[in-house]
This record gives sequence, structure tokens and C-alpha cells, in this order.
Amino acid sequence: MRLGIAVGSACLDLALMHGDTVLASSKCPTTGLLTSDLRTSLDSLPHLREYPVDSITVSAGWLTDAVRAGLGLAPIAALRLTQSGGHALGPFTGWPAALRAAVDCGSAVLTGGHDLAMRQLAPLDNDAIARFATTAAARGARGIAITASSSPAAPEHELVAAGIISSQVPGLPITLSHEIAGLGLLERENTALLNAALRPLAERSIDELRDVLNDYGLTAPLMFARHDATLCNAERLRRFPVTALESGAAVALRGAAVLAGTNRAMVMEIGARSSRIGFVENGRPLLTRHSEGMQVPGLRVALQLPRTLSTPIGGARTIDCRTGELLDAHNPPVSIGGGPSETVFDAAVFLGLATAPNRVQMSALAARKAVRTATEQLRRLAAGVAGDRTPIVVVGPAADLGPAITGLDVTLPDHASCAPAIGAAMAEPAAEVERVVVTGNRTDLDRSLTLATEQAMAGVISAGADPAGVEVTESSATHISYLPGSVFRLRVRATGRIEQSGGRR
Amino acid sequence: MTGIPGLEPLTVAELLCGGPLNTARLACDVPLDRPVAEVRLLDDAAAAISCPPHTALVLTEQAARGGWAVEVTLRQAWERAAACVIAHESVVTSPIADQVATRLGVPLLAVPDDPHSAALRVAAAIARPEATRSALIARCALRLAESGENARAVLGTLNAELPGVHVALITGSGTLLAGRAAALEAWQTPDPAITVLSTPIPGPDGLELGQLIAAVTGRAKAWHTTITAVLSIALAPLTAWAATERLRTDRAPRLATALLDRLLTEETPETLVEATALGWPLDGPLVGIALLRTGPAQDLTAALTGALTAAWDLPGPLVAHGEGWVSWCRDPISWDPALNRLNAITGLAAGVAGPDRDLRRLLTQAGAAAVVARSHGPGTLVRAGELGPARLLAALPAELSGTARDVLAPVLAADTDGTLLATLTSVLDLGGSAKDAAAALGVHRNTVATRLERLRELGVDPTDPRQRLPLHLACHLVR
Amino acid sequence: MTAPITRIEAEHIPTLQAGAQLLACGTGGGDWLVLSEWLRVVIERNGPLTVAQPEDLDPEGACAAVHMVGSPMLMEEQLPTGGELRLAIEALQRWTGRELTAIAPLNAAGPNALIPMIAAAELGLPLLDLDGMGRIFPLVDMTTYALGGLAPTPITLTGTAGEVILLDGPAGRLEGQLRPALLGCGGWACCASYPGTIGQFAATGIPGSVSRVLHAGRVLRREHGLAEDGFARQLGGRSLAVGQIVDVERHQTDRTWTDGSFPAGPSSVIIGESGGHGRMIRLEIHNDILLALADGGVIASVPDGICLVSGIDRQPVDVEQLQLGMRVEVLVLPAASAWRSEAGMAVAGPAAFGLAHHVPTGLPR
Repeated sequence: MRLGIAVGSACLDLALMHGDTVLASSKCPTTGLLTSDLRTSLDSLPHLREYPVDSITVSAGWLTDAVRAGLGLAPIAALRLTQSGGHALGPFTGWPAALRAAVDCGSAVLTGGHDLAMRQLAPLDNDAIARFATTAAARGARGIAITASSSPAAPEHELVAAGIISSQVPGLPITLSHEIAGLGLLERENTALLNAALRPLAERSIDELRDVLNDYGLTAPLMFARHDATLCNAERLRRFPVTALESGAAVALRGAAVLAGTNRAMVMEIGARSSRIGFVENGRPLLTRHSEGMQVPGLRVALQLPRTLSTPIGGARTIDCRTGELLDAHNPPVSIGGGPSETVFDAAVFLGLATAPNRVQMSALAARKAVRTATEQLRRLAAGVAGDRTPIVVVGPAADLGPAITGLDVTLPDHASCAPAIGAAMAEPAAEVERVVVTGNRTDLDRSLTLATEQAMAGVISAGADPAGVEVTESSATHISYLPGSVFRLRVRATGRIEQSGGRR
Repeated sequence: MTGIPGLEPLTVAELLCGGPLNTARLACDVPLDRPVAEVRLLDDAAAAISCPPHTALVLTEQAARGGWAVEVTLRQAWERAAACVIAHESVVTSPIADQVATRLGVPLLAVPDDPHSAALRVAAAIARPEATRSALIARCALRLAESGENARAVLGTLNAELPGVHVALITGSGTLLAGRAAALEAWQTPDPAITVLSTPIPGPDGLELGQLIAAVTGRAKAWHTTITAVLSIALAPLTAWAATERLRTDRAPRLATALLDRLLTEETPETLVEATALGWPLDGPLVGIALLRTGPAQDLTAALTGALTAAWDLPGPLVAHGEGWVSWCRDPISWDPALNRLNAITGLAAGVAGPDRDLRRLLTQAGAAAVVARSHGPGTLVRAGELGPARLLAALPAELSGTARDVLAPVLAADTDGTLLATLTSVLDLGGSAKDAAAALGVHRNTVATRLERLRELGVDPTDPRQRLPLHLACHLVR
Repeated sequence: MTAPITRIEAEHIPTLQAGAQLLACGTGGGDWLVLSEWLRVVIERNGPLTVAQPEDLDPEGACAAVHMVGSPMLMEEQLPTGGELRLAIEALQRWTGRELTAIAPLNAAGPNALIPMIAAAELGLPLLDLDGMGRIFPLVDMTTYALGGLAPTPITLTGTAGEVILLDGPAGRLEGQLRPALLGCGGWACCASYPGTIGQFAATGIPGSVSRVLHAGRVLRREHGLAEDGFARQLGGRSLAVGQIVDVERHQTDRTWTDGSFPAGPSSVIIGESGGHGRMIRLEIHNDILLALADGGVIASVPDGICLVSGIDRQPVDVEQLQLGMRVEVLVLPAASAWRSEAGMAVAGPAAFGLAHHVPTGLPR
């Protein structure tokens, strides 16, 4: 049995899975208080204690929300190590002002780093690093992210700088960029900075979660869904919380594929305030190297996020009850069916399209108009996507609106509203390693690839996989063009599975 | 490097088959009857543009750098109606080239040696087509002699040595004995694009044993002649094989029957060892079939058993047993195809039973079911578990009807219009219910009661448990 | 094509980047986050930049191509300090004694679509709406500028450490000098080259190239209701096939750099066409896609641009991202007519890429 918990910005979903079968699921609106929301949800599954739960996977949407809203993040310092000279593009370049204000506790660009031929760009200035650490701590930094040029190929300077800082300010959490991402300094630095800013929140929330789960006798290993719908264990998440960003979108896609029993699908997640289209290939969310999936405009991170297209229309869009017109999207956010104003979803319930207690009085004409306007926008979102006419699986809290979309081949699976929790429960451990090697000969390259493979496999086992079932699903050495010498980018990805037993206790 | 005018040019198949390219790997599945009139060495793929039709294009290693060069040449070959493309095997590594060749229908041959020398050999061969053909036939004769007197080996050799040709050994009625099913398919469903060459095989007794058939695409006459020549060389080992087989099947079935009888009556260690040596399944849940002839009763001939055994392709032995044949094996299988095939040889009905751990019980049940099946005509298959009383009754042997008349003599004597017998049968059929019988007969219940009273007076009581079964059987036999 | 662009503002950057990525024909090599940030920072500081049609400017005004050479991926790791472009242009001005009045792109595709915009915004000069390639070619002298008689030299290179290198001499010797100089700069450098007049650029350049980048980006991002249908046509090209990648052949041995001018190993991608005739499509790649074969028949080749978009959402796909099973659409974007001349084909046709003997003439159009 596997328990999936998906904490979104509007709802908290639970699903108990045995293999591909959903044994129980529940959905509760969130109040913003993680522990009480979780207790409410767990209380709604009274038979939970009867099942032997082998693993619990949480999609930690509150981490994404924290970045999106700039709330709950820790003030942090950024240290970049690169060549001397001007720097037009310093740390926090391109960050949305509000987010930057929430976390920026000082930054410095000091000498250090390497080029991709492993040559040192400049020597480290140990004293300057120590001074920066002291200043940052004095200003209240609760973490520091160190990014050196070419650290995926030559991590030495990041490691030395970390040593200096930890002896100067003991106990200050340090994030090293080469542990987070590969080539692309700005993205790697952004990701490391976010990671540093999320760490205190992650620590706190993991502890709270663990306590609540223990209260319910759920002592199984606690796992967290990552940005690609794979998972890692709680210990890894404490160090790398940034990997859980956008996990909600990823697990929703994965869950939709499981529910529809398909390996390949176009998935429409109809949410409360917005809806998005994503894709599933080989049962996994289709990821993009680019950061279009990131919901924080302007902030680019080095994470492969689900490739999605979205539209700001969802079940909780308020409507004018008399005319059926959709009201301004910037109205105060309401829940799907329970807030003070009438919503598109209410109109759908009124028309019998969705199953929920009817709570509005309106004309059928107005209700139809509201539903038609909303579904037409959803249709346009889907119709803009190229490719062959793959059937669309609709999931999400307002998935009931899906079948009302005309002209599309729409499937509404059972438990559609709990797809994220199902996707979370079905997540499997994975780990990837990206390295850059400079080598003149094949033997060296092979040796580096073997090493990277071992690291990936160790990573996936430490993420919670059964050591017997680990396999390398991707392994490549790509030559980087236009470079002096033979520089290769190695990428290895390993996946595993979590052992599970069956049956009711 | 042009072929001799007037003589029919060699085909790609002949170049491959024992010819100058016999070491080549054919990388695609395409017809090989294309005549080869000329050879051209290509230093680059685009040079194929100037080649006349029916040219064998040989790519030098220089020209074949990169998998795409092979594809470009294939395309050129297709556009120029070239005979084939020959390249060194080191450049035909991508499965994509094979797929393109197959899609375009251009034979792609990968040679292990220097393409230059392959080109020279091809040039020499096409200059002397008749000599090449003779060499080819001679080579086949040698290979056939090496393969020995065994149908499978002979057919294996033929199929290996005749590229692009499907050869099979079939019975007169069209059952595949050895070789490729594709040949039989072509024989059964004529396709204008495919020529089927056939040669009858005389058996040891002079009767036709079957046919050797070869399906070949295209109409190249000389190639057909070559194939026919090779087929006729294969006749001798096949006839010899048939004689040996006949001897064996003549003897073996009787031994098997005797062994099965011993096995079923007294299971000794010796019988078990013998049966095990023959590969008979003996332990575990077994499923079994019994086959009975539906035609007029006659003795089982060894020849018939031999024919059936030859056509039997299911796991487990086929053994003559009692009036018919039985077979059994471990895993439940579909018997119908085998029954249909055997039924085509002689009219057969079958009963199947199992799974059962006991072989004796299994075969008895299958036998009983076969008796029922026989009453329904040839091709019927009855499962022991499905035997209803009615079907059992329907299958009672007609020889018993005399006895039945004796049993019912008092009734028959008194029953002038048949109403008594009908009533008795009906009551028995309906489990002794006078009411149901009245309804079935369309008479009043009292009428049935009166008739039953009369029957009892005649000494016949359908409610007497000791009488009920014999009476019921007798009723059905008499009617 | 749509109306020419006249100004580039910060909000255009994501669209420009998407368009530049598509026109790079699979060789983009990354996101160029650094470049788009650099452009945004400069525009935010100096204001939007002007894109000019050459006929609106004085034809006698001095102009030069501004671009980068080397690895865009290296730039992502060794960030620019911000002064490189100005330094390169000033060095060229000192050497030629002429002050530039406009900036031209070398090739308005890939990273080099954005670099001249940064330079134009930085120096407050207009950017000419033209380019010298209409796509990406591997060598600096493979341009219609050179084809029209404009010399790439003198050329200046500036590195992130403040290096300034000036190379002058016959165009034919340039590539041999450029590569070592580039290595000296650490793998990537900013350049100013092709010093000439606006009139010369107008006469030899491919017109409308900068506007085309924005237009391509708008189609890809479905802005202004574009790309609802006729996707390839709206990009000015046509769709060759849609299919699934069935094989990726990589040659990543030590052969790199050994065979002279093209610093990358060749490789092939095989696509099984879905629907249609079910053809086997082979793409031959040497850095960029040079040749497309369908069942062995040439269906497209250089100088036309052959590019791949995702078969799912039609976003540009880099050749390095290609994986087995991926669904892709192959597009061909016809080359500028200048490349179609005999001289043009000699520079940028199949022959220039070592495919001369293999590709039959008379390519289908």
C-alpha cells in the first residue's frame, strides 16, 4: 500500500493505492495550516489504520507556493566565484522584485572558479570569503548559496569556500551549486539560491508532517515528490528542497496517466483558478529543459519541469448569476464550491454536470452560458496544441467541467479530482547526475561515465529505492561543440522502485 | 562487364545461391529474381545516376562512408531499376538501411570481403551464366548429399541454398510435413506474382508420397529451371527417407499400443521406464483425448495410425488404443485444430477429459466422451465434463436394443398404440413427476396416473430405484 | 511576412529568443539565459533599441557585423562582464578610423540574433534589419556579405578577461587564425567584423532577417493568434514529415577536431514517419542538420535550413536533446535566394560540407 498526499494551494488530496488500484481517496479544501489540513484529511479516511502503508509520498505544494508568494522564505546570501572584472549580470539578476526582496540578504562576486578546460580562472580570496560570510550572518542571512564558474566540472572552489564559511559562521546552512545542477551558471545559481531560501521552511514542515503522521500510526518512510514526478526521501529533501518545486503539476500528470490506464496522453488539469495542459509520454510527464513551466515569471531555474500551457480559467472563476458572464479573473480568490460568490463550478453543478450539492439559484440560460464560455476557453487551450489528436484526460478539482468541452475527445476517469495524490503515491525514486569531463581519450571518458553511473545509482538508493530494482534509464556523453579539446557533458539517470506489500492488515 | 546477349542473364538469387556472392548477407526481405546484366563499381553514391537498368551496384568503402550513402545508393538503384546494391558488411550496420532496402524492394547485399573482388566475381559470373548455373546445381547436390536422408534436413538445406525461395514438403491433401509454411500458403492461394514449382515424390511402393513445392517470386525462366533441377536432386534422399519412416511407423505404433495397455493394467517399474523413455507424460494433472472413427467399423491399420501420427503435432504421444487412438499431455491445450487435421485424413470424433491425475480414469472418461461424440458425426468434440444424461442416452450403442426389448417385453406386448411406452419414457425423463409428464404429453394428470397403474400391473415400476435406470435406458433404446 | 519591426523592447525578449532558437536549426545549444538577461539589463538601462531598414539610413555611414564566436554554452558558464561588445566595436573603429553609424547582425539566428541587439542598445546605434546567413553556418566567412565582395576582415575579438585581438589579412586565412585566438580567449569571444558601409550591407545582406526572428517567435509562442493552422507556412517553410525518432547514431570518438574546419563529430538521426507513406527519414548532422533523406532520396539539404520541432507542442528541439522515441516534426526553411546562385552553392551548398559527391543535383524544391 502506498499513501499519496498532494498539498496544493486550494486542496489537500489523499490517495491510498495498491498497485494501480485506488483503494481510497479524499479531497479537502486547505486553510493554509499544513498540520490541521492534514489531520482533517486523514480523519476523512477512517479505515486508514487497517492498511499496511509501506510508503508515504507527499507533493509539497507549499514549497512552490512559498516561492510564488515570496512568503516563508529565509533571507539568504549569494556568493559567486568567477573571474575578476565587471559583472553586468550579478546574483539575483532577473528575479521578480518581490521575490528578491523576500530573500536577498546580500551578495558578492569574488574571484575564483574555473573554465571548462579545468583551468583556474582566478585564485580564491580566502579573506574576502570569510569577511563576506561574517557580514551576511550579521545581516541575518539564514543560508548561503555558493556558485563557482564551471563547478559541475571543477567543484573545488565551491568546496574550499564552503569550508571557510562553515569555520567562520558555524551552523549556517550552505548550498553548493554543483550539487544542484549542471552547466549554465545563472540557472544553477538561481536554483541554488532558491534552495537555500527554502531549506528552513522544508526542515520545519517535514518535522511537522512527520509528527502528524506518527500520531495516525503512519510510521512508514516519508518520501517527497520531485519536479519530475519521481521521489526522494525526507532527508534528501531537507538538503535539496528546491527539487520539489512544481511537483504538483508533475504528480497530477502522472496520476492522470495512472487513472486513465495509458502511457501517453494529453492531460488537462482543471483547477480552481487556472487550468493547464500537460503531456505524458511513456507514463512520465513530458519535461522541458526550459523553465516555461515555472509559475514565477522571470525566474529561471535549472530544473526540468513539466511542460505545460495554461489559461487563467478554473472552476472557481466567479460569475454573474443573472447574465452568466464570467467576472474579472482578479476577483478575490474563492474556493471551487463553498466561497461567498457563485462560480463556474456552481453553474455546472446547477446543470447537473458536476456532482456536488447545488447551492445556487440561477436561470438555466445563464448557467449554460457561464459553462459554455469557460469550456470554450479550455477548448482553445487544447486546440492550440499541435500533434495528433491524442485523447485528453481531464483531472483536477474542477475536472467535471471536462466532458462539457465540445469538439474534444475527453476522458474523465474515476478519482479524477485526486489525480495529484495518486501520482504522488505512484512516484518512484530517481536520481540524476550531470558532470562535465575534459578528456582526450575514450578510456577516461568511460571511467567518468562509470563513476557518474555509480553516483546516480547510489543517489537513487539513498532516495529510498529498493537496491535490487535500480536501473539506469538514461546514460549519455555528449560532446560540447565549439570548445577547445574534448569536453563532454555526461548525464546519467537512474530510477528505482519502492518495495511494497499488499493486502488489508 | 556486360552479360552475354541471347542467354538469359543470371538473377540476384543465382548470384547469392552458391554463386559469386554466396558469402553475402542478404539484409532485406525482397524478391531476388532480378536479372543482373552488368556490374558497376561506384566511388560515390551519385555515380549510380549513369547506370543502365539491371546493374549490380557495388559501393566501394570510400563511397559508402556514412549510413546515408548506402540509403542514397538504394534510392538511386530503385530509380534506375538496378539489380541490387552490394556493399561491405562494415557499412551495412544500420538496420535503417535494411528497412529502406525492403521498402524500396531493392536487394541489399553485405559482403564480408573487399567489394572490389566481389564486383570482379560477379562480373565473371554474369559473363558465363550457364557455367554459373551448373556450378550452382552441383553445389546444391553436394549440400543435399551432406544433409542425409532426413526430410527436415533436406528441406533445411533447400531453403538455405535457394535464397528468396520458399520450399516445403507437403502431403497430397496439402498438409505441411516439413519446410516453410509460406510455400504451402502460396500453393493453396494462387498469387499471380508468385510461381509455385512442384515435383511429386514417389514413395517406396510407387505410390505418390507427397509433393515438393517451391514458391518463387517473379518469372525469370532460367532461375525456375535451376530451381526445378535442384528440387529433382532432392527427390532421391526424400524417397529414401520415406521408406525408413514407413518402416518405423509400421513397427512403432504397435509397440506403443502394447506399452499403453500394460501401463493401464499393471503399472510396473519397467513399463514406467519404457513410457518415460518415450517421453510420455505420466505425473501431474493430465488432459487427454480419445479419437474414434465415425465410419463403418474396421480394423485399425498400422498405415492409418502412421498417417495420423505424422499429422499429430500436439505435445504427447498418439497411441492406438482400443477402437481408436488416445493422446494425453500435461498442459491444457486446444484440441480442435489437431482434430480437424486428423479428421481430414479419416472421419474422426473425439472425447476429451481432464485435468485428472489418474491416466487410466482420464482415458476412460475421454473414451466415454468419444463414444458420445461419435454419435454426432465426424469432427465432433465432446468434453467429458459436459456429458449430460441425454447425450449419454443418445449415445447408447444400437446393439443393445434387443436386450432392451426383452426388458420391456411385457409393456411392448400390451402397448398397442405406443402410449404406455411414451408415458413411461416421459415420466422417467422428467424425474418421476406424473404432473410434468401429463403436461409434456398433453393429457390430463389422471390419465398419466391410470397408465402408470397399468404399467405397475405389468411389473414395471418407474418409482422403484432398482428398476429405474435399466428401464430408462431401455426406453431410449427401443424408441 | 508581417510588417518590419522598428523597435525592440524588453517584452520582446522571450519571443525573440524562441524565434532565434528555431532559426538556429537545432544548434542553439541551450537557453542562452545569459544573453536574454544581458539584453534585458541593457534595454532597461539604455531604453529600447531601434531596428532600421537600410534604405532609411545614409548609405555611406559606417557599419559592421557584431556577433560572438565560440561556444554559447561556455558563455552560460563564463559570463560576460558587460563591456566586451563595446570594446570590440571600439577596437575596430580605431583600426579602421571610422565610427559606426549602424550595427548589422552576422546571422540573425541562434545566439547571434541577440548579440547585435545588445550591442545596438549598448551603443545607442540602429540595428539593420538584415543578416548575412539567414540561418547559422559554422564559419564567419560563410555569409552573403562575403559572397557580395565584403571582406570579414579586419575582425576584432574580445574576451571576458579584457583581451582584445585584432585579425587582419586575406579572408581565406581567417578561420585558421580565428580558432587559436578564440581558444586564447577561453572558448568564446565577442566580435566586430565586416567593416563596411550601410550601402554595402544593404546590397549584400538578406533583408528582413531581424523582423523574421520576431515573427518566428510569435508563431512559436502563438502570439497574436498565429499558428492556429499553417504552422510551417507561417514560418515561411514547409513541413517535411512528422514521425518518431527510431535511431540516433552518434560518432563521439576522438575524431573531433581532427578533420579540420568543422569542430564536431557527425551523427545521424532516423525518423520513422507516422502516417503518410511511412518513410524512413534520415537527417545527417554536422553541428547542424545538413541533409534530409526520405527512403534514400534527398528531400532537403543545405543551404536550406532543416529544423526540428517537438511533435507534441511544436517547440524547437536541439539536436543534442534528441532521444529515441521522441515525436518530432521536420521543417525546412528555404535559404535566401543569394545562396541559390552557383557561387552561393559553392560556399554553403552540400559540396561545402563534404557532401558534394553524394548528393544528386536537382534537389526537389
